[in-house]
Amino acid sequence: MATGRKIPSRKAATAVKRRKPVAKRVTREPEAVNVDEIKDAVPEAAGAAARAAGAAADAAAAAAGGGESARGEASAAAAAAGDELNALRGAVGATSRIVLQAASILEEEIAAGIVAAKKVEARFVDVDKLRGADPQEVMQRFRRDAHEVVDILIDLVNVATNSLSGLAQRVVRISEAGVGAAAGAVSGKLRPAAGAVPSLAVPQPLKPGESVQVPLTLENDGDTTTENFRFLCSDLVNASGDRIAGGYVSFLPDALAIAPRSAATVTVTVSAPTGTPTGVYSGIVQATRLEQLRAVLSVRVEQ
Amino acid sequence: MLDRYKAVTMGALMSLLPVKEPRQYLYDLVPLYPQRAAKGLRPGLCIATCGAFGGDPHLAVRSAVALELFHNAFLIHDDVEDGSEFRRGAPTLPAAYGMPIAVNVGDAMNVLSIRPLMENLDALGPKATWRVFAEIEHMARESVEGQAMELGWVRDNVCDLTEADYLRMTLKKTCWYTCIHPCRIGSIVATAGAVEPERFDRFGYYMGAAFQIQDDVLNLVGEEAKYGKEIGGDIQEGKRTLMLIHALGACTAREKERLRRFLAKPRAERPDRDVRWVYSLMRKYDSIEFARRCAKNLAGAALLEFVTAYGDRPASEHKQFVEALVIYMIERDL
Repeated sequence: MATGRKIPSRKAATAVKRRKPVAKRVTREPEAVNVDEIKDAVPEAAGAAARAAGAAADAAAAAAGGGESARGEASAAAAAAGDELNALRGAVGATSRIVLQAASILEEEIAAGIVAAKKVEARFVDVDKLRGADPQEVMQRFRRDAHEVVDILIDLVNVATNSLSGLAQRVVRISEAGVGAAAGAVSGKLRPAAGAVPSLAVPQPLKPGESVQVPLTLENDGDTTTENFRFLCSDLVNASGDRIAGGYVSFLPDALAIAPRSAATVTVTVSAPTGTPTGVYSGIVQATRLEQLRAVLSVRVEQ
Repeated sequence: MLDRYKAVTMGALMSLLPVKEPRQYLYDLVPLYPQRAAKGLRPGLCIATCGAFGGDPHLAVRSAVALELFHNAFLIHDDVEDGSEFRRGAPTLPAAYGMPIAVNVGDAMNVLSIRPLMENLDALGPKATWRVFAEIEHMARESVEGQAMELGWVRDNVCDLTEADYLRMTLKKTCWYTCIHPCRIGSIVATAGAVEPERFDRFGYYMGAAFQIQDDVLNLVGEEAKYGKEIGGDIQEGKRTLMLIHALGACTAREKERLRRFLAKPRAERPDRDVRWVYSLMRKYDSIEFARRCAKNLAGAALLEFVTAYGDRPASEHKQFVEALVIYMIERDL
């Protein structure tokens, strides 16, 4: 695929997939580290500080049960440890540069690692489905010798992938060079050929006069924020030449930019006007400013 | 408590070992490292977190065994890669048995760690078993990536590193598998993932980084008998510790060039007098004191994050154990 313009980052890549539950990424600034503040805010920590000072352990332990009176006892207990707490305060001090740096690095690494791992897990594995389909086989295979475990895991992935109706084939990774490929697919067989346009199939059929929403998660694996882009959609056409006008496909939010190593969700709404004939309708979804970000959207209309 | 956790873990680990040949060159060697004076921090955190979150601590033992086996496999391979001679007060496996045997024992420990994870299936069910697998996969991958970063720095004699580089390497090499994942796995076992494991990330990172920096400080100022490894071994090895990175950033251009030349030599060609010079350079620029302060700050941050991660749990001996660990770090006299 030719690229009209480059993605800002060398490594920038955007993946599109049907949305599975996305790992919650809690972003917050590290708070000041001050033993007194901890002591005042939370009874358990007051207990910790008190025990660290070797004082009033019983009262602090009682405080761990919660409640205002207990909290008061804990605070008193911790206060009784006066000098020792001051020493601790001196040791831990206020928020240091190293803690701030560490917090920042952790956020980056989590965005790059854990979230991706969870998405792979969510994308490929529905263990309940596996078990429901053939529990004995899975259980027996799972118990076999250790050297088989890698094969078993790959089997799990493959079975799960099949059971999810080729969901992986709808995964798009678009590189700077504009080469489309399935992202995260464990099995190479699932990868479409370079340049192939992936399919984004709406899983459930649609009746004329109704609409369906499909959440999509967009991932920016690059190091810089993407340009602000919007989605466009061509008319959807079935094999008989019937059409659903592109205006019946909408995207929310309408425009967005994705921060580096983070994800955003776009809700795609597809409506079938009254009187739409039965059939599978397909059209091209295209992002502005990211020419290589495109896919075939398909939806089945049933009466 | 730590001893109790360790005893339970070691019992399960020993029962896992095949009773068959080859013993002399494999199975007899597998428990050597775990049986030495190890703290058992990782299984302890895993089991304690499980208990603190209302789970049956025994259900976390298989995962704890896997963590301990992975950890010791890392140590063996680490000793091979670093050419270390002592570990926990005794000769390292490669020093005592040779590198090929040591590498194979490490491989065996990695393989053996898979079975207890498979055996989680009956007790935890498929969902939690899979989640624990996913945690272990991430943990192992991060560890080897962190190790690769550090080995690469030594190999290419990288001398322009920053604190951020060090923190990232430590997160990847040490913290995920030493603290973060043990806590996460413990909570998954206890709650089947109902408690978001992300709540342990900062706590585990700060605690793990504090431990690592403290460990590196002890490598310079500790007593060899108590520390169990060669004092100053990290300098000899050219390990990019926070102290070394700080000294490289603080010293004069001339000193930096001498330091760079020292680090460019193979380990065996780094004379003791040069090792002592590097140590004196760290003293001169307060690099050791700087690392101590960083460790204290991180330990303090871990205390705050303990409140976030465990604060809503009822009092229990398990919760108290984790709490005591953090307090120990703050109070630890380096």
